[in-house]
Amino acid sequence: MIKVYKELNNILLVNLNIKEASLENGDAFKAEVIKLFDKYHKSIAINMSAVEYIDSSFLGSIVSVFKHLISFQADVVLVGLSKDITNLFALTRLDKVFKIYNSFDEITNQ
Amino acid sequence: MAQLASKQFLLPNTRQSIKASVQEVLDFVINSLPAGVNTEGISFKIEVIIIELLTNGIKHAGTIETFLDVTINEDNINIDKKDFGNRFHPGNITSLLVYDVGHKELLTKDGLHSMYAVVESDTQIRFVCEEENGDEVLDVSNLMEHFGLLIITKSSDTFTYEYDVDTGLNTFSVIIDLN
Repeated sequence: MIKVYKELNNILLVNLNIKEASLENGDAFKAEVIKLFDKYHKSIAINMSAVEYIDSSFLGSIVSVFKHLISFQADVVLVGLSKDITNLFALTRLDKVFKIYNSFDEITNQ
Repeated sequence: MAQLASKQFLLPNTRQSIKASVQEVLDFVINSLPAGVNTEGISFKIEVIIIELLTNGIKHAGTIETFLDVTINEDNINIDKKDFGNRFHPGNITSLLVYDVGHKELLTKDGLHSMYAVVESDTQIRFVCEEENGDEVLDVSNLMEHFGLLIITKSSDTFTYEYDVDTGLNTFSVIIDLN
């Protein structure tokens, strides 16, 4: 589900390769992100541009891994959200919680 | 209030079928909307509401199928999700319906929102969401991880739950104003 794209000094760039982010794969997503964090011990930027549909269960999984990484002074950054998913983050006000970028380039050019 | 279109959908209560069910309902709503309505805005609301109503059913109802009654009126859209599955207990409260009408029960709270259930009658509660003002530093460790009720409440103008003790019928009812 998750593939590492690039490892930078302070952040790991990964691609989330699913179209439907739902109740069905939320727990697996959470387990994979935490496994990656346990291996690399750095913040993780998740490219979600392949995701077409997301439900509240998966949203909860994203918040859960964010809380886990924050407790270790790391961060979860989101990249490439579709218009509907951007609207969902605005609706739930999670856009005030997460750093959200259009592309990996926006992160690497900082 | 003139009714423009109405349809009952019988949908499978499975994770795999949600996307197709959402598209089926969305197509009906969009094709039935009165002229002049912002289709894009309504599409987003309908999509997230149907996804969450069906996901909630899969998580809690324990039934094979669920009924969805969709009515398009000149002024609003009404979606009723009905099943004869497990009774819904928001916030793990045994029964809100034992309280007096007007009682407001806090279900969840974090630095972004407070979710309440307000007793409307001896069989019905209405969900209310209030945004926190954000003056204080957000306590991330306290963030809620369950967004279903919040998404439906914030995407609609009225969201209620009714339980019929005699028949065991659960009805989640959503109204979206078009004006």
